[in-house]
Amino acid sequence: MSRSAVDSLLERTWHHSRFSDIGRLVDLKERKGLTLSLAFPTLNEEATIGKEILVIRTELMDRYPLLDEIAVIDSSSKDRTRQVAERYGARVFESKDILPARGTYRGKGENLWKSLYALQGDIIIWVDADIANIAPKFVYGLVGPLLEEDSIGYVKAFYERPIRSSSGIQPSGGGRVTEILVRPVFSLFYPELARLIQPLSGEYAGRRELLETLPFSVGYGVELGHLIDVYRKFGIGALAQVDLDLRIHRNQTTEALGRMSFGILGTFLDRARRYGDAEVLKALGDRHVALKVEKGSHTVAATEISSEERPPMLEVPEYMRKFKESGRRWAGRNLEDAVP
Amino acid sequence: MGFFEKIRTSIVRTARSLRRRASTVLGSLRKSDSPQADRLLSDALRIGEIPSPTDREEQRAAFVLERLRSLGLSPKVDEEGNVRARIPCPDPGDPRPVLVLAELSSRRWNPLESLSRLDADRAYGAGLSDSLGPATLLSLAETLLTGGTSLPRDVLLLFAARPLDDPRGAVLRSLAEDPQDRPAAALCVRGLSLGAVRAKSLGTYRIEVRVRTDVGEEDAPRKPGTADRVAKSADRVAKSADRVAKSAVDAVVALARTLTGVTWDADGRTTCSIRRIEAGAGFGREPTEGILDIELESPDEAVLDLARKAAAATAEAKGREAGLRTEVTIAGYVPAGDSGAGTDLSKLVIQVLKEQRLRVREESGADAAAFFTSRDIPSASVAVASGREGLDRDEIEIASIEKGRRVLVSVVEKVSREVP
Repeated sequence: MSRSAVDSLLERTWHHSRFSDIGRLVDLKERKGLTLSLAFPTLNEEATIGKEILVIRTELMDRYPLLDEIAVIDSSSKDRTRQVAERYGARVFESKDILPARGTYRGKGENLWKSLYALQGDIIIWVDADIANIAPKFVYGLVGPLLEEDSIGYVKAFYERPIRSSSGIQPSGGGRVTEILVRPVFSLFYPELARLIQPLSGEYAGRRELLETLPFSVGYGVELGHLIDVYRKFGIGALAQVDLDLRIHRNQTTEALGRMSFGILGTFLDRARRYGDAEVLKALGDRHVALKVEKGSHTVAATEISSEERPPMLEVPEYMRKFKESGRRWAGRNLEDAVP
Repeated sequence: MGFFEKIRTSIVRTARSLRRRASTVLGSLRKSDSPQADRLLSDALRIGEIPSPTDREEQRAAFVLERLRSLGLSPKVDEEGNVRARIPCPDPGDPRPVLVLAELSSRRWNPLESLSRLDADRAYGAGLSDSLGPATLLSLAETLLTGGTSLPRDVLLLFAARPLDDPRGAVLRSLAEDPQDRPAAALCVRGLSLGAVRAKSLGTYRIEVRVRTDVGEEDAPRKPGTADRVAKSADRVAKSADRVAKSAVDAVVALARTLTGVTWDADGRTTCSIRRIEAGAGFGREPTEGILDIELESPDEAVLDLARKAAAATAEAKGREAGLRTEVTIAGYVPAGDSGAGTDLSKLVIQVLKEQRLRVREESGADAAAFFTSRDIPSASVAVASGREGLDRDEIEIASIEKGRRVLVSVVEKVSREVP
């Protein structure tokens, strides 16, 4: 493969300011007859969700009619996340109440998958609910490429990630799983995807016609699974990435990142095997093992990490009934052919 | 796909789009008691996150400029960074505008705590009450331009880049002397506290005294006219060293006691208050640097000026006696103003507050309106929210913002019509 082909994602790497003329985006949206839905997957996010909804709604629904819908898909939070979200004008769904016949799992990927059924928009935007410095660019930056370029189907965010802690805002230190795990395996197996600056960022947007063809890992692997699936089904040209400057959020412990890496690696191996890019010759473990020191001796703390996966929505009869009038065509491609 | 099939698909898609839009609008109306107050709060949160104070508050000004331009206004920025925007009325009987102003800057911005947050009832963030001022002006502009309100005068909005009490700021003086923009009346908008009215304006000097105890022989402060004697006399230097305060904490506390113990005028109307004491640095050794902020308040401008000179001289003299290096800076000034020129407008504000069924609290203290009343321009201050200003973060009662917004709009309408 030529160098330029491998690097092609960098040609679709933009700064959010390119899309800051929101009035123009609204024109594009209306001219193309598209509707846009924003969803926040939540679990105990009362500290940040209110501001995220207020800032985005006032700017991108009230002042500029860019978004048609803002929703929270909540994993039965124990705090006041749902009440705060309703107070500031979001539609609030409990994940377990969406497609109840399909059961429920705990995990961000589960909420994203169910949001496809609950939301109405032709373009779906997902933004994490723990952003302390939320701003409209987090949404219009992701939507811009999809409205401008019909050939793009999935847009990822990237940014600097200083860490908010009790001692203040510390420079980066985020992105450890990306640099230690994801970029090395992408470099080995899918070098085009290694051009993604933050493949695990929690903010991304996609066209419904594309998203409904993707399986969703319930847990940590949802972002990585999407990227490999989009790449293998639609090619690197369907992907773009946008620089959102700065995202301030909570830091995670090394132990939590270890569990995340376990889930992500599991999803990676699953996809590599599925697409014939690698072979796994034995059954994989289903628990992440950490070691703790208690009373001077080491003990094992094993955590079960869900490897459950939800099927493409196109395979869910309830979804097909609800969205049956959808043409499911995007940029001249017959997406039904893309379903594995 | 056939022609009729295309039409059918198009109709279905359009109908779905309209249905969703209607649902969204209805949902928005149902869930928000006041879309304008929500937008005001959102702008306050976003302005409050922008670092401040800076030299010209360019980032905060950029936010304000974008908003004003999106409303169709043509704002101007002067050399200090102040933003002005004139909202014209269709047929002004009097060319003098009503000035509505707020500070863009905040002295309490914090990189961590200014990343504000909301719960269902309150907003929290460092300096958030400061950013309510400019956000309210933006909301006022939107209301006047889109609400169908027709006023008999232009409204001039001013977003001041420097704190109004900053002695370096010249914008208020230039406005008062500007033949085109000299206002018929001025309203100073501040964040907290809704219902409070500065019925009695006090002139104020904020004075910062910095002391250092680690004064070497070369740095030793010298009395004017005694330099040679101090320099030549080893005995005197030794004695002076004996008197040097070891701790900056002791030094600033002693200075604070001295200044608050002074009787500034015969009837006790002029007072000195300690606003801040800070000393450091480090543990395990004597702090060597300290800051003392005092505020002198008086209803009499002449007495206030005398008190300012006396306080500065006292601080310097006491510093010399204690062998300290002392720097005295005038950090802020608000004139006493002319209570006669402000009375009518304050009454009008009280009337509006009562119409809105808000409890009125009459207070005395420094009031930015005094900059205008001292120049014979009727003026008053209006606060727009209830809450609490804290050391680390402010708390704003969200429900109060809509009340405050309505108060300001009503006051501007009345002032526009009633001020001669």
